[in-house]
Amino acid sequence: MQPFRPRWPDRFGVIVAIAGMGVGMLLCRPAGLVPDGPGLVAWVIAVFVLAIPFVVLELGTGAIYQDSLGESCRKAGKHWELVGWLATGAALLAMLLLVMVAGHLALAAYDSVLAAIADQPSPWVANAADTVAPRGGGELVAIAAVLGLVQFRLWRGAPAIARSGVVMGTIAFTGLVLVGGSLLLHPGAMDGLANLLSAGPSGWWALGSVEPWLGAGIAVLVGWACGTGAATAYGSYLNRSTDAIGIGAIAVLAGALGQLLLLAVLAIGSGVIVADGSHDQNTRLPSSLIAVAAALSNSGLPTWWAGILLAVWFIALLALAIPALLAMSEVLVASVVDKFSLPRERVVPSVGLVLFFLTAVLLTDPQSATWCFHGLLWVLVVALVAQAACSVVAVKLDAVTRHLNAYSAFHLGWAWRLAVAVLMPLAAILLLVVQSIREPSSAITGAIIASTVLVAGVLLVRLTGRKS
Amino acid sequence: MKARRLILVLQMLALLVVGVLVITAAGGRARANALTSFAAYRASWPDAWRAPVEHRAVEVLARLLTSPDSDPELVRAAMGVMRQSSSWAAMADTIRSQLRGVLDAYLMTGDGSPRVRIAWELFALSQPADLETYRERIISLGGERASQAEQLRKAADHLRQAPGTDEFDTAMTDLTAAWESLLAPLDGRPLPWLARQAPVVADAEQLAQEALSLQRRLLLEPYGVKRDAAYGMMQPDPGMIEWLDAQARTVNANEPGRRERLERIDDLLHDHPLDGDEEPVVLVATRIALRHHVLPWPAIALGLVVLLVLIGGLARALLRLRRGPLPIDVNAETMENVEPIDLDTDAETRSRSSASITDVG
Repeated sequence: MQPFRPRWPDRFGVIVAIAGMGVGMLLCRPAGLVPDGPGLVAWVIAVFVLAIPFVVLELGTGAIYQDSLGESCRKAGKHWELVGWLATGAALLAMLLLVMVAGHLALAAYDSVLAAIADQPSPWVANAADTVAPRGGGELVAIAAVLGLVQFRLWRGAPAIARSGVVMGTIAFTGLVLVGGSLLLHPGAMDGLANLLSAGPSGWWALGSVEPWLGAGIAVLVGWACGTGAATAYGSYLNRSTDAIGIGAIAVLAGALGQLLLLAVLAIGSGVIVADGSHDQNTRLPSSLIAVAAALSNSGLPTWWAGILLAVWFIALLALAIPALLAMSEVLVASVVDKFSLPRERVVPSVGLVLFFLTAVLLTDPQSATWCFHGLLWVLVVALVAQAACSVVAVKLDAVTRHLNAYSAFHLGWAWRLAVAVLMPLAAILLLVVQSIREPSSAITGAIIASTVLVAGVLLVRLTGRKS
Repeated sequence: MKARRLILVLQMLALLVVGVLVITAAGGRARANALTSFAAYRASWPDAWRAPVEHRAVEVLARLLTSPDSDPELVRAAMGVMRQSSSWAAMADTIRSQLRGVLDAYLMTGDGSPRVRIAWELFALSQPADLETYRERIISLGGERASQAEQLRKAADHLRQAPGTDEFDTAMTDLTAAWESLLAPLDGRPLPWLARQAPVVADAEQLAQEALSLQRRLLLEPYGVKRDAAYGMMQPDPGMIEWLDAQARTVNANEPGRRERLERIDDLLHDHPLDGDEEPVVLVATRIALRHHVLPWPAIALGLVVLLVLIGGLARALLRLRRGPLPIDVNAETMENVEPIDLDTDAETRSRSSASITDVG
């Protein structure tokens, strides 16, 4: 444990940091963000049944042991430290995905600002190749800028993370409301919302099929379980007598509302019918994000106003990504700091540099985001199952329950233990099996990446840390 | 010592990462080179230029035949080479037996997959003597469907001539049933894709699609799409979209039944799309006519319920959090006194405010 462990300024700070992480992590997913009615119902159920119990477990573990996930598990049993390094591997993959998306978002925001200033069409206007579309080419510069901002906020620890979460949350909320409100009056916007809220072609019977549950499972896994380790690190900056149950539940519900707002804006954007579907094909952003940009660019708004709204849209998305980037970076930093007792000021820039060079290499492969995502799913599932096993066998859920209940306005009971010990790992395994059956080639990629992370984790466990 | 070990492990990890990246990059470069070569290939090239590309295409096809979903772009590019290649028939011997194996397995099990289709396409390219025999055997897998095709043909004629609402509804129901019956598994075997290309089935399906397309045009007339106009591949501009939207509001308010009929046709055409590109104006006009201008009440209800659940849960949690911890059970224990976990922490541990109550006795 760090000799002077930073503390959150208040409850609001940690709630905003965790909620922001949950919303921002959705940007990791390359496609298929917006569900239909049955998918939405499945998602709400998954938030209550899986996400809240999971975040409470994580926060509670961090608050009780006052350490990162790896060190917390090591205290419970020496070999369980591997769980923490698996989570760190997942965080690294999620971080790489997020950095690439955030870099593209920053570049897109810059392009949009240029287009607005020059009063010229943006790159997302129909037939952009025939028009003057100012475009920057500096993906690496954009990524460096994003990483620089993240590292600058990170090295100061929990108080700066909390303040960043509040600022970014305000920017993102304002941007999403502005863009959603602007598009709401355009033809087709209601159609998009109706698609989000109505039963799809199969009707409500689709709830009996695997599709909505698979989508909800992936959304919860990516949105909240990527915080395997992040919520523990955040929890370790709480006092041991903090109400971790209440904070965890409130953070997840606030994050779910933020996710819902993002999904609503994406649905509205995809519903607006534009003159031509030939948007900028060179972009590497997920198609659902581009749909909103295309709607803004092609729905007849004055060019300068469309440019401003586009810039607002991409800046809002970037503001959503920052808390998630901070959370994932914190997993990496906290793991190294707690294991090797290195000064945070040295670890933070090192992590930033490693991430920058890894991202620079990955940018050369157009498929990198796809295989990173497949790898992330696999590593997450392995980490979740291992963490559930560690919580049951080594940490003892009964003991955690008694400790958390003693300081909480809420009462954890058998339902929570069932969710953590059975439902969460079962859902993760089922999700992986279904996904692997549907996409065998991606399963091979994911399995290879997960094996690599496992080997690296074992090697790191065998290293003797300062406290052994 | 610890720092040295850390550096050693980091170096090993870095080596591992570099190795993986180099292998991945090499694979990616080889793929990119193959794609470039396949795209540039011309049958008129001299033999010395053609031969390596054709060999590479054969290798790719032979390798990817076992898992065609892994890289469909490369498969398509390789097949493009093979289609142009004059020496394909001779070179195909190397993989023809493998293709026969795939097709024979399909004929045994009837379990169709994209792999079988690709195998068939390659098999047809190689122009073997027994091509027609295999075609007939595959078509016969689906059984005799002439009567079902005739039913679909009749239903399509009926729909084409259905003028009123009642006749339309009956004709649509008949057409949907006839189509389902034509495509339904017979003796547990689904209709093979080749059977759908056979004249009897293909003609019936085309008639049905044309009837649906005609009815769609008729229904779209009040929305602003002319029955016999040829719009070509022109995209509607924002002004036209706005006008179509205004029309749709009026028509849907006056004739809600028209929208429902259009929706039925659109659903069926979605399941059985027309061959070739449909005119974009018609597609956009259909989408605009089917668009919701206000949210349907079930959607509003679902939205409200979801918001109520999330906001209600949040409000309840906030209120309880403000109230403070629940009264402590006298038997409750915190992690400080739960053995055997060694917390090993320097953090300040605050005792419960009610510790005195717990300690009584």
